[in-house]
Amino acid sequence: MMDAADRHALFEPLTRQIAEITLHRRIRVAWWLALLASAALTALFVVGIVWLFAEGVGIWGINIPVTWGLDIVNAVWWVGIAHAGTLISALVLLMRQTWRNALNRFAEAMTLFAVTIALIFPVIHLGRPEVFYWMLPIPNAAGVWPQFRSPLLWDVFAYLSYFLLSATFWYLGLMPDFATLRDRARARWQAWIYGRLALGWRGSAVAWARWRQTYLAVAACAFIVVSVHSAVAMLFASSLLPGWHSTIFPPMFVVGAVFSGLATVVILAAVLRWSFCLDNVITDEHFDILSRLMLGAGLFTGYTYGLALFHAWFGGDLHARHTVVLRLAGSLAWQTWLSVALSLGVLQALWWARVRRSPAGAALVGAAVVVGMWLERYAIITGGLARDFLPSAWRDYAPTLPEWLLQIGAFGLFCLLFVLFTRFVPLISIFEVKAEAAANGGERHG
Amino acid sequence: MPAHDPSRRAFLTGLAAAATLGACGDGPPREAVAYVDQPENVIPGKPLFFATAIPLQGYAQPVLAESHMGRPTKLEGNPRHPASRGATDAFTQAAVAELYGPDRSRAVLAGDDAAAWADFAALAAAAAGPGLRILTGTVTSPTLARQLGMLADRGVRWHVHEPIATAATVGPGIALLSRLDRARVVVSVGDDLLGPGPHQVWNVARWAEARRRQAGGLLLVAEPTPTLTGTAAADRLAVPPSRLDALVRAIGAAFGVGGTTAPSLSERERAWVEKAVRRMGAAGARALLAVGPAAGAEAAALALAVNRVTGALGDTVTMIRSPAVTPPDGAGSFQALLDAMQAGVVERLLILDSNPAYTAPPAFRGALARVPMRYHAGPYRDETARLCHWHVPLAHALEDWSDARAVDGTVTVIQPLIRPLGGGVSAHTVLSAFLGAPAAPLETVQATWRATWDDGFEDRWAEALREGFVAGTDAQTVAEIAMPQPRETGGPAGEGLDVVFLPDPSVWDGRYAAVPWLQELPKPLTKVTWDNVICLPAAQAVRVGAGNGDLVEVVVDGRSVSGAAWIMPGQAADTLTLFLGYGRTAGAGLAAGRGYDAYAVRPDGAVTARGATLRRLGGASGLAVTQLHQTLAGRTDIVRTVGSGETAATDHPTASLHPPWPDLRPAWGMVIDLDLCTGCNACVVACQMENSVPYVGPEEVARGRAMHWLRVDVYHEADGAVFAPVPCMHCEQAPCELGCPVNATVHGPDGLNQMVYARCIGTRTCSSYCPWKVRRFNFFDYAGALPDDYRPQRNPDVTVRGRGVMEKCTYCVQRISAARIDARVEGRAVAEGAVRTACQQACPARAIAFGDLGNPDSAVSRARADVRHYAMLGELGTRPRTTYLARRRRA
Repeated sequence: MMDAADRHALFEPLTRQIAEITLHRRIRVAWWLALLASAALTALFVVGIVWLFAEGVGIWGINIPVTWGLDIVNAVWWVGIAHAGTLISALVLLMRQTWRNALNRFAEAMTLFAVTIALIFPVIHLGRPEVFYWMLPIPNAAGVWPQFRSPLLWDVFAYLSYFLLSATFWYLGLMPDFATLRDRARARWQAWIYGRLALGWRGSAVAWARWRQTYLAVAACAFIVVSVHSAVAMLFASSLLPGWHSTIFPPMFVVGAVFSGLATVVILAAVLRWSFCLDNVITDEHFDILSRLMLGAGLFTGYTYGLALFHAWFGGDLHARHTVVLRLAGSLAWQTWLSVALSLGVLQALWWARVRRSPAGAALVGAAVVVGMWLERYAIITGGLARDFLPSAWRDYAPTLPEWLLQIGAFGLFCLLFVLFTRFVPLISIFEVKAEAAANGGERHG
Repeated sequence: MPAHDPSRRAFLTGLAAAATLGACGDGPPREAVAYVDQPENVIPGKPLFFATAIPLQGYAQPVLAESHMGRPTKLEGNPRHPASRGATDAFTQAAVAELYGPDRSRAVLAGDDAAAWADFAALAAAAAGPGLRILTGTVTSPTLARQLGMLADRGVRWHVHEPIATAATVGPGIALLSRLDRARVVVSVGDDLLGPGPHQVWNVARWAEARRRQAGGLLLVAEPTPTLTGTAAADRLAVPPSRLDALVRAIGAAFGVGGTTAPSLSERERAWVEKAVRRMGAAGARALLAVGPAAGAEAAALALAVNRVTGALGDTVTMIRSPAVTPPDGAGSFQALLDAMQAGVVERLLILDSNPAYTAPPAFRGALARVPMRYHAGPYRDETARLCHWHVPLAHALEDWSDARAVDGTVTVIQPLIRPLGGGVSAHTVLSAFLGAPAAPLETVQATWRATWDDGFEDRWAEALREGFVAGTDAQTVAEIAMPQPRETGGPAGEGLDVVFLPDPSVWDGRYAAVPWLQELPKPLTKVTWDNVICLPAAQAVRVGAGNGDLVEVVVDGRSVSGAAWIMPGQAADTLTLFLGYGRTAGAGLAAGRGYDAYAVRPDGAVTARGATLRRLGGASGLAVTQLHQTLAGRTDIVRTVGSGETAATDHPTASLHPPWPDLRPAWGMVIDLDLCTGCNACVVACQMENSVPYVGPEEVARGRAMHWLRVDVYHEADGAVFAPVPCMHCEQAPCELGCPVNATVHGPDGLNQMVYARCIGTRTCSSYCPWKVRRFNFFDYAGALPDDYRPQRNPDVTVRGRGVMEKCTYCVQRISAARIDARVEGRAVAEGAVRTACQQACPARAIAFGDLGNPDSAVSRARADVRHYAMLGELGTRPRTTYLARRRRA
């Protein structure tokens, strides 16, 4: 056991380093530029939505048969991105892997923001978005309930519960750090705000014990991370379409989601470490671990691709086989191959430790994976619709300007939320990193 | 505070009051008067049906017109009329939309200025005399003929111009009428018997009758470009138009008619001719040799002789007194006018319901300028109207009294359902004005029949109106005529390509250009909408390097036209097909300027031309095509063809985790006989008119958003094209119902897959899940975007769908409901045949059966018991209620 002085000597620099970012660091020009840029992109999102509500979904490139375009691609992709945050935080917490402590805060924030965006798309994609709440089981005079067999309804529940869980888990984890910020705040308003957010946290042993129980209990609920994307996958697998109707879809979607989520975490970790000089907190070791996880998830994703091919062949269904041929060699094959090249091809660089341990290298691979997985969603969703049973109905899809506005705008909104997060919330879990350091007897991990 | 300086409160009060008043609009109409005496038979919510007719190129298409509170909303074929048997074609279905068209002419015009009808009538009364010529289209109307005769007595000469030759004539006043139901083999050399035109319903109904009886070898067709007839053929030979004559002569030689030496034929041609001759010989009098205008006059005369030899003349084809009245100069009528105009002897010209400035050879425009005074009466202010001094808007057939003959000569008295919407004037009124004896059309038409019927006029008139035709007026058959002398036709084969000019399957000669529903009607064999294309054989496309939609230029006799290329499977080698009816510059509504004008290169009304050249221009035309993939891509199970006695059904597991749909009655189901479907599209338009399905325009069609609830798929396979009408399948285990999160598409107790429009929030999951992709989505407010003029046409029994809502085929649920209510009021079950869907009702081939699957004696149950019965994509286990009968192998 260390005495109080030792602890202070050990913890004070770290506490100051993280808390200063939020509380007292002079706002740099770069931050303002980032804020401005992301706000400008977010404005495109607003323009896209106003345009959409004024004119109707007809301004998009969707058609019959491709009734879903970038709207659902993004709904699926963003909620997929969201998966890594909770995975790292909750599952790894339950497995008592302490390396998570440097990553969980911003990974969870990433989850929350991604789920928020993922929630926007299914609402605005409706033909009549003003009545989106009809999908919710709200008692009403007409006595009409949602249609509970619909996978789309399961998605609504999955998205909402995942949003609530992520928000709760994130906030619970923030409480002790909000208290730290309150205590270190120099301005009265800061103390007031962080004090309210800390909910009167005093750091007593009882409070810590209760907190610990709650935190673990909520973390245990994170098993729904598996069900969320399974529900998303069921939206496709429950149909009869040859490109969608497959039992491999739920695991394929979950592992693909985790894969793209991990890639996003790697990118964010690299950006944060470089922006806020956190080399001592987010270490090369972290990149190594994340890269290994990403490699594993990627290989698993590739395995599910193989299984999907096997199922199509082994099932013997004419339409399913046709679809596979079209996917691999038809007019839409470029989507498949570009996606595979970006996600699985570039990924192979991670077999080299030097790439894994280099923030820039790992982040570049991550970027390729993120784009590749987006393309995979695009290929599955729009390609599946574009080529189903009757050749007479076949028709391609190309996104239009309003769709790209929303695409870029959603990215802008994510950046905006994240830029604000880096400024107003401790982006590393201070108390957990300290606890880890204490447990390691003063030696920082890695 | 001064009174003129209102406070903020007073201002807001005033603002609120103004806003409230503004929202009120004009208030109730001031002259509204309630019914004091309820009009007889008018019960709100109950439609009335009136028997009348819609002329197509002069020939009556007999209909029962549905009227809701004085608004015509839908046309059905007149089941008692022999030329309809209750069916219609696509043009007739769209006539009710044409009635409300906002582009119809609405005012008498003197030059560009609105004028009074009285002024025109005064002018007309003084105009009749030897200096006046009248130009019309085909006239079958006895009343119009009577008026023209009266004018002829005053020295007024009458001429006829019809851009499309339809009725096969064999001499002055004699027409041929095929009776395909009696035939055991029909050999068509370039005759599109089943294609669009006045004879389509007559022929298709009778062909279907023969086809029901006989599986194979019924129809042998030689044609330059694929038509509906060729598609239905057992053996189709693609030959350039210049070879048609040789084929007829070879057949003639085999029957000892015409020259004794058979012309030289290619091996494929000889095989086809031998087969045709063999079959015809075996069928005897039950054989029919039909020859189209592209084969030439000599071939037509030869064919008549062959039919006489085989005994078919008088059996499968009869000579009748032509329902169309022959103008003074007969076939040379238009040329006589043109000569007179060019000679400057025509002082005044009345062009009545014809558009020669667009449809006649370009020389007509020049000649027209030499006529000092030109009057035009027509439904649109079209190309001709713009070249005339006076223009009179003509009333629609549903707006005023008239009469007309059907293709078999039977007369229908045309009765109005509504007062002329835009001040339209009847053609009879126009001629009355020129006769100087103004009379209402009713009086004029009645005068004709008063003279014909010696006694009992009132009763016979009432009966004619009630029945929709005048019994016993069908044309007399002509036993013997002086055989036309075969003339030498056809010049020597020149360099270059053959060209065939065809009327457009959707807008005919251009007269339907302003009807958007017809513009948006996919052409049967290309599925192109809103445009015409230049059909070329694949080899020519390769030669000039053009793909579908690429701009190509065709030069005929030094005149050129450029349009979008279309590679037509089954097109004869070295043959191009140009479609008439596009490239309009006026009076075509939304279609103005679309497509190319094939009349510009058409030599003197000919149906073919020779020595054309083809080259590719840069660029492409953005065609709006509803079906982009027109082959089965190996999925031959979709549209099945079986040999005699073969079963079409496939064994697929029927086990399901879902409970079976309860055995409730009536259990509505539909069976579509692919063997009888000719792809004519009548069902498609009927569905749109019945269900108020909006058109969306070429841009939206090109984006894949056409709204047709019922589409007719076409697949071009190696052995010819096949058609498959695809409405909603009304699956018992419907995938769409699983997908909808808000219960907007649910199952009705009678097995209908229902759409609850008010509940739909537009997730589009149902469409994504639909394996047949029959659902249609309102990406924009299509119904609201239509001109208000079309609103009265909407079926009051059908909900109008707004933006963001999914819609689809309902099996005409409003008709089912009406029948159910009637049955319940009378305390009985819904009778077999009490519900007929709009598509079923319109179909001339009666290819669609609809009814209660729970009744083993219903037509639909019997069809389901047929060995040819199968379900399209039945292996998916959704248990569709719409199923098919496989095509029978035709060879």
